[in-house]
Amino acid sequence: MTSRKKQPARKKKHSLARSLSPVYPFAAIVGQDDMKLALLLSVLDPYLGGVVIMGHRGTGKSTAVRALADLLPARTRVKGCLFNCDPDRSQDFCQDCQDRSHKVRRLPRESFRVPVVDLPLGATEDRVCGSLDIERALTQGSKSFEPGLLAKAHRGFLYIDEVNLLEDFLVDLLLDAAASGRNQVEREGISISHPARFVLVGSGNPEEGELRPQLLDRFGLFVQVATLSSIEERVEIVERRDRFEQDPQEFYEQMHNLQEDLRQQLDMALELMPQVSMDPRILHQVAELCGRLQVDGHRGELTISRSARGVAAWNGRVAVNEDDIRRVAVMSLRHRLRKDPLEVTESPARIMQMLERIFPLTTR
Amino acid sequence: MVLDDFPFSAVVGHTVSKHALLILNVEPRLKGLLIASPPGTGKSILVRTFASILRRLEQGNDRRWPGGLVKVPLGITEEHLIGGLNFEQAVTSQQFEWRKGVLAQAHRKVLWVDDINLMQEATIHTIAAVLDSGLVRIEREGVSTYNQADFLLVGTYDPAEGEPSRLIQSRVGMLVDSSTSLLLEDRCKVLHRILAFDRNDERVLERDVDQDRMTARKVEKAGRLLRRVRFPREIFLQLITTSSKLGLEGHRFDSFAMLAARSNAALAGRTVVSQEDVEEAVRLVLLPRVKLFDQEKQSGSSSKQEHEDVSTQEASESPPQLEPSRLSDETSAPGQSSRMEIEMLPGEIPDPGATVAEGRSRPGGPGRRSNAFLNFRGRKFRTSLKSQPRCSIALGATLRSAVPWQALRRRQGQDQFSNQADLTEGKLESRIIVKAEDLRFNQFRGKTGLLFIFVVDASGSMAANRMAQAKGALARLLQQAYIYRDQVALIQFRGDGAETLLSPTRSIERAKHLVDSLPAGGSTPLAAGLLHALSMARSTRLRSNPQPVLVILTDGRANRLASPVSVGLEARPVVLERELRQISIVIQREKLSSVVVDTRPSFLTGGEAPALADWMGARYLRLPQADKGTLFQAVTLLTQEVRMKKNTS
Repeated sequence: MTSRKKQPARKKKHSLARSLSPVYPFAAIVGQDDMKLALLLSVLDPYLGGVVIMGHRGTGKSTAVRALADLLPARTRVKGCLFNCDPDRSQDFCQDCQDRSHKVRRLPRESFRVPVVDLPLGATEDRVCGSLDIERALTQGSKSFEPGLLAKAHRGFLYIDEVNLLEDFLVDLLLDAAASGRNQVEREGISISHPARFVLVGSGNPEEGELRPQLLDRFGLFVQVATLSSIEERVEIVERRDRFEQDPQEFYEQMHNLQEDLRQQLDMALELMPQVSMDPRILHQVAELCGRLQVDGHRGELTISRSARGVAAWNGRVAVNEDDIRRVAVMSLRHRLRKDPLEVTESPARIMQMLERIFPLTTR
Repeated sequence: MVLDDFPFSAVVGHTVSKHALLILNVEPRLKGLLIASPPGTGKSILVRTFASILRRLEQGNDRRWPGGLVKVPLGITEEHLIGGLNFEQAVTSQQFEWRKGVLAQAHRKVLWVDDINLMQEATIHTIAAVLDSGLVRIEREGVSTYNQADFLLVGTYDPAEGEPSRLIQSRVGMLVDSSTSLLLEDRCKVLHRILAFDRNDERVLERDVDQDRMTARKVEKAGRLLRRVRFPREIFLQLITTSSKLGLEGHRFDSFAMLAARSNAALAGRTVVSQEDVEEAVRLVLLPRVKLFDQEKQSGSSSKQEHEDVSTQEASESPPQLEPSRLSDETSAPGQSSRMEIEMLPGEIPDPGATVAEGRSRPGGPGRRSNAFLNFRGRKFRTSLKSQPRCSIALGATLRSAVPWQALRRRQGQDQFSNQADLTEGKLESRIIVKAEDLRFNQFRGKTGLLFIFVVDASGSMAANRMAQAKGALARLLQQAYIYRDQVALIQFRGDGAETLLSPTRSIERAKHLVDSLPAGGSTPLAAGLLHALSMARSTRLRSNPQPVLVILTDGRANRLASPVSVGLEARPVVLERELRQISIVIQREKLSSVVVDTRPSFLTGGEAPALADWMGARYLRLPQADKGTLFQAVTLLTQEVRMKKNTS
């Protein structure tokens, strides 16, 4: 790693932060299969639209997101690029990279870990979208763009805790960026556009209030996590956490094999994804399911289709089957069945009943 | 003698708090501790003297911290908390430095927040986030960096003024209620010691100073012992089973309990965790939270997968009206555990069509929040060009708008404040020339909207069908609260007293569940209900939270006094009336907007509810007559009034 003026400072910060707060391994998370699956699916298909995880405090929501990001392999970006530009996707280049690519034949690369960007509670619009680089302005008198959180999250995760308390307009802004994959900034004499493709994960405590249905609907999957009830699992959770906190390195070694297995499975799934197909008959049934449940709009069936493909790939298959549909139906539809404005989320019962009718468990 | 020299051991009482503080010191992974105690009971002295014990441990291994105390004022701004750009330096020289925030300054120390229950939610959030990660991330005004901030959080408060935010309660290891009053001889002890301290009489406190030294050594030893403490499997299982039975949410508390038990053992000089350590852990970590979670458990959270509480049937003195409830064991979809379901009395179903029509006719349209822009508390949410009286300047935004013009302004020689000598020496290259049009002002937005405190008479005199109507009315009001993003809280009173079913929350869904499952039966302690509501309204106001509006659903026929009554003395109507009057006058004096919804059928009315409304200066509405529209309109009018009043005050 050759040093350049600005780079070492950034690298040092990153590794300092990681050594000061080591990340809990994904493979070591006990239970919470739905949440783990939803997060994996959102990685397998970035167009899924992100995940909302609702649950009480202390149920491992933010742990899971950070753990997943850590599980993912390091990615490559253009060396020194503040926007994490992918060197193989020149159509997505930021302005800087574009300029550089005209001068040099091949842009230098470096690897970086998948970022998880937290949205701080007091985040203001300029911090999210980016603004004038004040350090440069004050010290050099020049005008340049300081990337915001959207830039930092590019090709990574943007995690919003207490998403149900965030201002509507901010959630809106973030959902827009997540959907369009780009961030357009026009302020303080700056006009810039840069890619912003990230997985949006929102979490929250249902007691504190609900997210507006319109906003909720734009998230791909909705998962509810609860405190585990089995004593053995609870014991396991506490013990693992304790071992991890006392000696993270040792814990990593113990979990190494499981983590490796997961990584490989994920790699394979990512490779398989483009080839996964869904039988027209099943597609038809999915549409029927959503129709009968009176789901608003088409996001329901789209989400089921996308996530079911992910499940198939995760299990090493290229054909979606009915089990895959059953696995993802509830998390894809639960937040889209608003009938009564006061009841924002449905109980799974109705969905499961309809599932049973259209995709019966007994084989004919 | 300086106050900080007052020996920790000389503090009278607070035994549990003291022990908890030591446990915290031995095991910093417990993160912190909240102490509830009425004013004047020595909380401050307790915390300060605790810090002095820490100082005695200065030399030693790195597990024990240098100690020291950093006190956080309630109204601290985010800049001071997190740190920020040192503007003076940046603007006057070429130095670009950031100023360490209070949290970073508290690294390896104790961070003390007094009156933590009154702290703004946003500040609490920041502290909680840093407490968790041990790092302060600074991402503001173009700076992006980290600071270490590993600290112990000690929060003290007066429980009469409300509970601290649920968030911070779930992030600290232990909660202690130090509210027990001292015995006479202890009270004398306190006087004796403080007076001695004032006189600089060291003899009286000598023993305590020695005790302090011993405590410090004990803590040090315990710290070294901690790593070797073993937790036998059976005892560990016991702890987790207890925790599970207590029904607390999340797994953090299990971890905290384990850490506390271990620390307790270490403090006692043992290397094996015993039954007694587990009991202590349960007492400090788990039990205090059960009371808090009970309220939320009763509602059955929005996840209907959780068990719903069985409504209890109480004997009622007026015509017994039992809630038709059926308990059935029902197995839901395969794989899920069986749950008990209660058939709920349906409230009147609100007419969605009506809502839309009314929405359009409301001034401002639906969904418009009341934004009090001139509120100086709350989050900085944007900057504006307009200057309002007493608005603060947003430095970052101002500089950003000035910067693009610098080259031009310097060339035009618009810098008129510097002297020629400096100019020629080139010392002013980095000065920023700011003009009036560059100025940007902070606009704050505090928590706006209203807080509807529903006070519901759930006594036996609320006949079943009127309860249904009441629920229907409530559902309607909840709809409105939902649209305006107001908060709601629910207090019910029946039998022995009043109970908060739902603390102020924006979760309309939860409120609706609770309303649907309101049971009825028992006597009517109306005064208790009002008192309860009054106290909730007061603590809400203290936190500059939304404006409270009381909505009281009752027939006004109180038959239970709130104040303690000597045995044998019956609650005569005169006495009851006097009590109600007193409370109503207080409510009126505090300018709490209220509505009394009379649930008594018109032909039976004895005028109690209208009288109550009169004393409180409240709006009066009659429920049975009122159809959906009337009730809704009436409450809408009232709330509009309140909102307008709030905006113009």
